[in-house]
Amino acid sequence: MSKLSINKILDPIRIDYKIASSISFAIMILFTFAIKNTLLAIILNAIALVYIYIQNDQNYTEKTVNNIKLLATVTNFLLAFIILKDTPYSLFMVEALLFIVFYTLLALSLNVGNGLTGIVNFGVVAQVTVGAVVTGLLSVRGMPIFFAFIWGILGAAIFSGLIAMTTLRLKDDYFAIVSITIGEIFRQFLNTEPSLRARPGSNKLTTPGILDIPQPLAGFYNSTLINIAFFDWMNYRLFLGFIGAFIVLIALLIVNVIYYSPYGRLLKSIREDELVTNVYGKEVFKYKVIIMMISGLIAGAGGAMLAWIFLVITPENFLPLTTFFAWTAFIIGGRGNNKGMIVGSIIFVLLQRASRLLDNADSLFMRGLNSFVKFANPEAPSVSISYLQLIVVGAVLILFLRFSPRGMLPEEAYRPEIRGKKLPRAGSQAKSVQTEELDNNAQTNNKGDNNL
Amino acid sequence: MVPVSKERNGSQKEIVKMAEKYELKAENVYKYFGGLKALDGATVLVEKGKLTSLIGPNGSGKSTFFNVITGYLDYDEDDANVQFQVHDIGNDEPAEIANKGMVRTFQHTRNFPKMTVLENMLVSPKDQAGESILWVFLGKPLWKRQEAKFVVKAMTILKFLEIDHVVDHLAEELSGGQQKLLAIGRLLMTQPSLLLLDEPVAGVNPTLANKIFDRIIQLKDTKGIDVLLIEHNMDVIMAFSDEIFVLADGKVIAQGTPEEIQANRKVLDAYLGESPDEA
Ligand SMILES: Nc1ncnc2c1ncn2[C@@H]1O[C@H](COP(=O)(O)OP(=O)(O)OP(=O)(O)O)[C@@H](O)[C@H]1O
Ligand SMILES: [Mg+2]
Repeated sequence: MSKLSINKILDPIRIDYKIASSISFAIMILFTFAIKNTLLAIILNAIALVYIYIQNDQNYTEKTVNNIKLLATVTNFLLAFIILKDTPYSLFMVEALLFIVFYTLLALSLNVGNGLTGIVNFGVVAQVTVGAVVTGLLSVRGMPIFFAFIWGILGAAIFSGLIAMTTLRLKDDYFAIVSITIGEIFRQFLNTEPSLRARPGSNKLTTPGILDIPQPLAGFYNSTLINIAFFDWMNYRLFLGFIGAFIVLIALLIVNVIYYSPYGRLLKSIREDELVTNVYGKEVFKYKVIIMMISGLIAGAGGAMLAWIFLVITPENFLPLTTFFAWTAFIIGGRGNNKGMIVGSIIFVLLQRASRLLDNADSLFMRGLNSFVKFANPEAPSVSISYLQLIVVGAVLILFLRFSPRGMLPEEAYRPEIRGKKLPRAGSQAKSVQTEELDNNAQTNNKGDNNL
Repeated sequence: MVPVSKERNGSQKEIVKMAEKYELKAENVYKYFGGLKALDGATVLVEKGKLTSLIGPNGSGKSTFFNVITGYLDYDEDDANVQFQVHDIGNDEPAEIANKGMVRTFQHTRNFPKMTVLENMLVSPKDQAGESILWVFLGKPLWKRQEAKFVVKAMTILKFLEIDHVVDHLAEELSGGQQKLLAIGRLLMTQPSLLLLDEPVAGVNPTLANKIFDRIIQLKDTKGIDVLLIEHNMDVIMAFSDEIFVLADGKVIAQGTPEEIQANRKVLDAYLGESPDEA
């Protein structure tokens, strides 16, 4: 065990670290604006980011280190956003934001299902499908978008609950296989079932898909205030990104409450050893079904987001690949850490999309790659970058599993407090809270709150 | 109560009368693993207020007996009659049995490795408000208050078991003996009426082992918690048990007070191997 100390963080002197890091951020921001050289700014940011990531100071708690990492990643992303806003890459960044929102929701859903409870769910895309199709279908048929969204996520939750009730008694790996299959079954169903095809004003389509899905608050956006000068660089897709970020925030709050409650602790014990949990009379199966429903709720919101991003959804949007991408973001982020899901998604999406940026036949990279392939086999057709994307993602996943299986932001052990005081850590010389003292304080309400 | 069990156990009145004397009555328990008769009609009775022990050579079926009566393994044959207090628990799921007040430990210590010692302790109490999804969101002050009480209780128990200094460690970081103690600690957090302990002090230092037994006796006498335990350590068994059952090859070959058991020739044979002229 590392020598991370809880008591150090309570020590007022340690506040200096927080101040120091804030100042360095401020300087970094000023700096990047001052040089006005996009590339240099990004490189500087990257260096700062790496620096923050590697300095795992022993004096800080896991939680502090994780918070700094989260802050660093998000700040850097936003910074890159602002820096690139007048360049041809601004579109790239906006699309990246949309998919970061999407994958954060999926990763969060996995984090309650697998990170917390240990259910090996490879059917994320099935939950997404239900959320997307229900939201899309209802809003195309004229239901207000907000209610269509609510039905979408509820539908995904109910669907997940039904799946869980019928298949969750299977052992981990068998359940994993079944859950992949269910996603595929659902996709084929979408392919063939005529009643799941629609566009506004018409329910009879010859090809599968839901077309022209209305987007949330589009009218509001077009009509108002938002288009004032300050936001002149804002377009609707960016606005949609903000709506998505708001949904992520709510999901994060909900999941966080669960995480730091006795309920979350119970789920964690199921993950660790459900047989033992059973010994204390807890109905493990019931808890698993409920948590699958909650994970469905969140993944369903991701599905609605997908419908709004694409405007048109077809069965091709729901390939099993999405599930594995979600798992990648989840593992990069750090299984069992909610904040990690944001970091994981940012890293994953940027990686995945950046490899797409290279998709320019004239680029040095592509010419090099193609001449290498031609050298190896003169008959070979020229390389398409879409494969490279998968290779990059796969390689990163393998590297993480090999060298950092706990992910970017490792799970933090939950240490409850008594009246805002941390319990003593083993071996720490700092003044410890004695049991007698705890006894005296027992009746007093616990005001301490260390969520998020 | 289902009529079948009523018929088998005699009248309701008789059940209640039985329950007055016995905490647990497990008769004719059979368990086969393929051709191996792990339990061959074993009968074990736990009298109220007595510390009952189950001993026997390795592989004699002791752990299997625990697994069967706590619902983790199915019964073979239909003859079994298992009554815990006034309940017929022959068909119950493990969680139902635990909820009726019969809780157990496992021989191979099983904790929640990636959770802290305190978290481990807080999992087990029954009826926690915060374990219902609605209360989590709507009744935070309620479960926070409850939680504070459980934490104090947990700290007191940990202190008694001498592992309070590792309260913030992950369970997987504890030594083997400490892990055993943690498992016992978790049981004490529940409010059990019968503890089934599978080798609770194997690998624990003798001084602490004696202390733990003292504590178990104390629990029994003050709180009326009955105990059935499996143990190989004859010193503590003979010193602390009121009643001993000896299991060999799935059968109970002897039953009695420590003195009776020590004088019993069959028990010696079971442990040392039967002498040819005796067979
Ligand atoms: N799941 C199982 N599958 C097959 N055989 C089993 C199983 N569990 C136990 N057995 C067998 O049943 C017999 C009794 O095992 P059990 O674990 O009950 O012994 P025990 O009395 O607890 O021994 P020990 O004192 O060594 O713990 C052994 O011969 C064992 O090999
Ligand atoms: Mg055993």
